[in-house]
Amino acid sequence: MLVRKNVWELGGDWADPILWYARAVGALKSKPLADRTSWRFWAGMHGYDQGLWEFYGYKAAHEKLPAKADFDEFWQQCQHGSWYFLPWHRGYLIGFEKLIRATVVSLKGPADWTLPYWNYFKTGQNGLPPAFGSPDWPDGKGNNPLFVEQRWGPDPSKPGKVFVPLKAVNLDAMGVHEFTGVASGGDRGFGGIDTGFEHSGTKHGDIESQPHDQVHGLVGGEKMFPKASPRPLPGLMSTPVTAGLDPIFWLHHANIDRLWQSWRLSDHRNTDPEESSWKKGPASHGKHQFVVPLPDGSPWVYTPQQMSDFAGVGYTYSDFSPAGARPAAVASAAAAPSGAATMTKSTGAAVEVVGASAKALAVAGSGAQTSVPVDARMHAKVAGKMATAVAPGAREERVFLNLENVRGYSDATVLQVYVHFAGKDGAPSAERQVGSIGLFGITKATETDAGHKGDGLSYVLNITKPYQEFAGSANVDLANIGVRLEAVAPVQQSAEVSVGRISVVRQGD
Amino acid sequence: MTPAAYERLQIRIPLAIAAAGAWVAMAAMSHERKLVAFCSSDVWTALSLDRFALAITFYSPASLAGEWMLMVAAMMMPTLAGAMGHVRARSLPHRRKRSLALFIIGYGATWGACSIPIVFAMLALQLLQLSPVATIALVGSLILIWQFSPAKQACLNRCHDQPPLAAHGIAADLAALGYGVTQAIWCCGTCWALMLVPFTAQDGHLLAMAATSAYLIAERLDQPRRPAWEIRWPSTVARLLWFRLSVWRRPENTGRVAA
Repeated sequence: MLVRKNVWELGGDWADPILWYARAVGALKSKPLADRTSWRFWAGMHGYDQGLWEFYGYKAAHEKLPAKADFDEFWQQCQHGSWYFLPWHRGYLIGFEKLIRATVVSLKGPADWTLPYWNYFKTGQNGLPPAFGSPDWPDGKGNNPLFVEQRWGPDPSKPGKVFVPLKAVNLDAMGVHEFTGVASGGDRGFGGIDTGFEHSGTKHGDIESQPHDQVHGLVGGEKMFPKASPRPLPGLMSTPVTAGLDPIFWLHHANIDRLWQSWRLSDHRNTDPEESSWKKGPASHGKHQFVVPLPDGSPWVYTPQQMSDFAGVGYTYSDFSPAGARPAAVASAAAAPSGAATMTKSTGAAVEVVGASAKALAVAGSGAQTSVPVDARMHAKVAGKMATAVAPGAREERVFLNLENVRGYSDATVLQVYVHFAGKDGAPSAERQVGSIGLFGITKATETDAGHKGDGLSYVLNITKPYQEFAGSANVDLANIGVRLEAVAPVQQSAEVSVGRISVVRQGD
Repeated sequence: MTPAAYERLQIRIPLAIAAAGAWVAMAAMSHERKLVAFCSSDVWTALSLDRFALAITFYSPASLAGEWMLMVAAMMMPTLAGAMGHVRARSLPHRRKRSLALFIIGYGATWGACSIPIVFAMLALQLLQLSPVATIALVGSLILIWQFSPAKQACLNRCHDQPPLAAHGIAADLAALGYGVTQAIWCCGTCWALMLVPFTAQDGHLLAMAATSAYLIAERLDQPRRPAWEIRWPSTVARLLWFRLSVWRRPENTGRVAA
């Protein structure tokens, strides 16, 4: 069994697996764009933007794209805002790992090479693995293929200092027990809502929303190029249209893939969807099938059902503990039992608006804040349910903060989200952090007539705990709930970031 | 059933029932329907106010408008699931019915206004007194040019719009009404050319309407795309049919991943 290992625990900054990865990446980067086994062809399968690729030098203006048949079959496939997010990326990683391994072998390297993963949650491992941050090979010579200039990190004042600020990411998604959820403002489920083929869906599932999106933006960052654009330009990792060009992308997604299996192993209720529309993939409802080229260039078509069979994918991970807190051990490759869930599903749950902001909120500089008027009747309903013990078989009362129609041109932006309860009659106010949002994919979601809807992205954050904390309190004003967005890095005015509406939504019986 | 699929059914079932009711009414009234007859009446041999007055005497504007709205309901209801689901999801529970009603009013009123240029276009066609072949060629060319135009794709893209909607007070009412109006504008832009098909089919009008309706629904299933001059057809439905045939012809792809 091939084992994917922690990149920080391979035995050195330039341990053999990293060195061979760099050599293989270098070999693939030298291939023509239209070659199905080239580095850039594989990046284009995730996403493509002519302007950014040419500006950053990944495509010459005169260079030909893959032939139309290849472009249509393979390129721009990445699944976001969809319950296919996890299985599509798993297949993409499998195909990529096969290609790198075949290249490593052709370079006289080991036949059991595997893709390492970057577990930024593990203590002391949130920094970019050093081999990726050095422009030089270990012998001091330049042209390290793992180094990317357009990887600026979370702090614009220190471009190139790349790390994942732990205050901006969490593993809350691991506590969600349903793979798929509702689309109307409640929980979207660990893996995302059911959709067709969604190259740029607007409603990301829980593990995609956190930590996947944030890590992309925090690692890639953004930079101003005044001569090229009045808006900040994203680092490669910050946007789906260039992310696959950065070698660290694959280690980040290996970690997300690891978290999927970790989720399945952690609780018997955590099972993949049983619906045939998920198992058979978007092709089953008339959409694009999932396909990547094998090392010999032939197409490999795969389905979510194949990706769900973890015992059959041909690899495992060295550690399945989400944050790497427990002692490392190779867990069983067997999948968690499926179809045995005994919990109240969200299907048929009531999902209702409790309150919503009156107008759009512009976000610039260090952030923004607003208040959300709450409907008195709806608040009374929620408070009443929260004050009552949940009957056996009944659904738990949950409350969510929705940030709807988030638009703009700054894919790297990450906003910490706080809810604020104003004190009454001299009582102190209270504020609680309820998570963060990463605007990964926002530019494409904002553009109208570019093959997208133009309505922006929408986010859902669980605020049940703080809402319950204050729901029955006479010391705070519950007619309005304050919402404060704090940017991890300053948001440029020219990026025109805005939130169309902020609402509070209940989900329960 | 997934939670999101259940939510979609909450909208799709009432819409399907309403559309089915409209189709049944259209079929039941087929011998009394005047709109197609009005557009293809012999009185339109020359442009004159006298002849227009004569036509209006035979065809009451109210019944023509009613028939038009029935046709819009039958053909367009199935395409409104996304927009009406959006209104429902974004409204406070006790305002849902009101917001949905306002959306329908805005949508219907705009489609009503859209009927005037479409009906006059048909009358203009009658005034030209063309042979059946020439009529088909002219209408067919018009439809094809519009169908493959960037303007048509831009309208179709905007049919998927789901903007922010106010939730409280008069702002919520205006938002629902306004969303209905804008959705209908983009919908008229998307559909007007194909709506000419049923009008030109004097025999088998209902069948032509059903075929047009099916095509309009199939168009909506495709993802938005960049507007351009290009030959387009509903590819999602084509792929779906191909997938069904493929499953029938060969075993499903469920095998394990080769190392």
